[in-house]
Amino acid sequence: MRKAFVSTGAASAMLFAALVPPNATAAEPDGCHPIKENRPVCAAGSSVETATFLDPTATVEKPEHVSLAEHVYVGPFAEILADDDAPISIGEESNVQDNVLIRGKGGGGSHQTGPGQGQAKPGVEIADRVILAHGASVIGPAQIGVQGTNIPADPDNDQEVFLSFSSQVDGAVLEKNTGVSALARVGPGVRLRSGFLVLPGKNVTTQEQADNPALEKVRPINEADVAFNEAVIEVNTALAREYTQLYREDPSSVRGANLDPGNTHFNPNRDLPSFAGREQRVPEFRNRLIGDLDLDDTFQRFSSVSGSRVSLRADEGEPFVLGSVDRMRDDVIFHALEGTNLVTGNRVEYGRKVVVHGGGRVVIAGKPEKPTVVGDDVVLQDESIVFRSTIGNHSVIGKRSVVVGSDLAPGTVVPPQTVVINGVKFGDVEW
Amino acid sequence: MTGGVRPPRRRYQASVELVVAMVLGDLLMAGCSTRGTGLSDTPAAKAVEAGQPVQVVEALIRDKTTTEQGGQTSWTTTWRLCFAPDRAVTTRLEAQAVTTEGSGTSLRELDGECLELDIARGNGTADARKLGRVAQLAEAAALAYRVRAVHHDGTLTPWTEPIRVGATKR
Repeated sequence: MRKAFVSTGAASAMLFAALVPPNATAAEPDGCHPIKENRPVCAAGSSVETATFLDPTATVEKPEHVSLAEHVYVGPFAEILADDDAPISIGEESNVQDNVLIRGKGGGGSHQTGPGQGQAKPGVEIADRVILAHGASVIGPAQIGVQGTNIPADPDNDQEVFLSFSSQVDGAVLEKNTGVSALARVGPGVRLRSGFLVLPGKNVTTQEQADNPALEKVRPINEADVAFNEAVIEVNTALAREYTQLYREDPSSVRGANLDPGNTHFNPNRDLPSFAGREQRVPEFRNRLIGDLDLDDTFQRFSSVSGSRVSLRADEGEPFVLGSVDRMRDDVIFHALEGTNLVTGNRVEYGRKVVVHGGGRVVIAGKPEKPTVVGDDVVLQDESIVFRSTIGNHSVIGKRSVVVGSDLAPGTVVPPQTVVINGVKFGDVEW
Repeated sequence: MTGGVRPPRRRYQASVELVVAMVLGDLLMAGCSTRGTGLSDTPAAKAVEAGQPVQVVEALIRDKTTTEQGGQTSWTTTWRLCFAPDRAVTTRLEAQAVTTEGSGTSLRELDGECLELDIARGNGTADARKLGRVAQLAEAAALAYRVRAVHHDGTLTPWTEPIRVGATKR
């Protein structure tokens, strides 16, 4: 079955390559240009039900060369950087989550491997139903989810592509129904064909690595992957709608430390963050603290120890609890949908671009699931990721390491660039 | 973590071995990111709730190995989750995906009384699949399902608590 995908994908790629003029840029389809008048709701007058929403902290360069379809959610501190000769388009129901970078040019396109592989036109073209998760980056020339085929795990024509936390697509083509796991990368000139997902931490730099699972860089996409992606798209479509509604009720509510939008079936209520036990709404704050956060620190202290472009986004319900912060550098992302799914201890040091993501995890049969917990005096070094895990007190998670579904004992040291899954080293982060 | 009453929990065997049709442990109920309120964007959700959440009677993981033409071996790991609704009053069972990002809005109708999902796939022998399978099962656990019954009279049972994909019950 897999051979059929490969031959189909290759054939379509070769056909496409033959049709593209050598100097063409990525198409600039009709859509909303997020110029000043179309921020944060794009287009300004569109219905709540179809609107695209860009968090006010998102950066857009050359917005006249950026095209956004309907139902797109662009999260805090995302960067969409187009240029005159490097347009960016994003399709319907796609989402660009916190601190994602989409840069129209600057990738390694000059290293492309040849016709029929991963050659994209200048710029970045992102199709419908593409998920760019927290901290992911796409460097043009790149194309995502435009070409390719249905796959047995997702035969119904509503394709999805998922770029996980801090992953990167650099000068590559990702076909429909593909994925890139956390801290994984697809390099210049590579075409990731329909039905494949890059494993956590892997760096795919050749076409053979992308095509051959035996090389242990990629694996087939399964039905659980598809079901997860479909639900995530529904959630983010709802966020686009509800942040638009929140903005229209009170434009200041989508800035700084403020309300979550509520009004979704997964989060009916709107909540404010609280600092040292006091709920506060601070629209002028440089960082985005959204929803039911419960911080030990006062607002003044948190402001003094945190950097910029920090996004702590509790779009759902009960508070998640942050102990006193030792230091929180720039571009840190927290995302948890339910308060007790994420608890951080006291005196924790958060490096630059750290991602801490909540989510339930079974540890002992018959007991409630464990929340994601970061213990006291933990150091999360730059670009490290903690997802659905417990990190014991005094532990250190090395730079660019990722810990998933694990329960790490106190004092654990995870070396830099290490992938830990279910408490076991899965491999290295290869780039 | 979530509100509401959880179904009873049973003993759990943590080990996950590569055995065909092996029951791996007991059912693990997820405390995920929804509250089981029954709120939904679908018209059906406006119906009246009645009765108790449906009970899980079986949850297991199966591994299947296939030898293709040319001798290449491929494998699939499937999760099967089955319920025991009151058949006298139940029209169908429907499930909703719950993720670490929130719960979806779509409803998936179960094929009879069971939900079945491929949660890992790959090529090669048991040794070759070992690491990839573990990684895929860990990633699949970011997903859970909650399930309810739709009755002949249009009423609905309350949602079950979210059930983590890959969880098992003897």
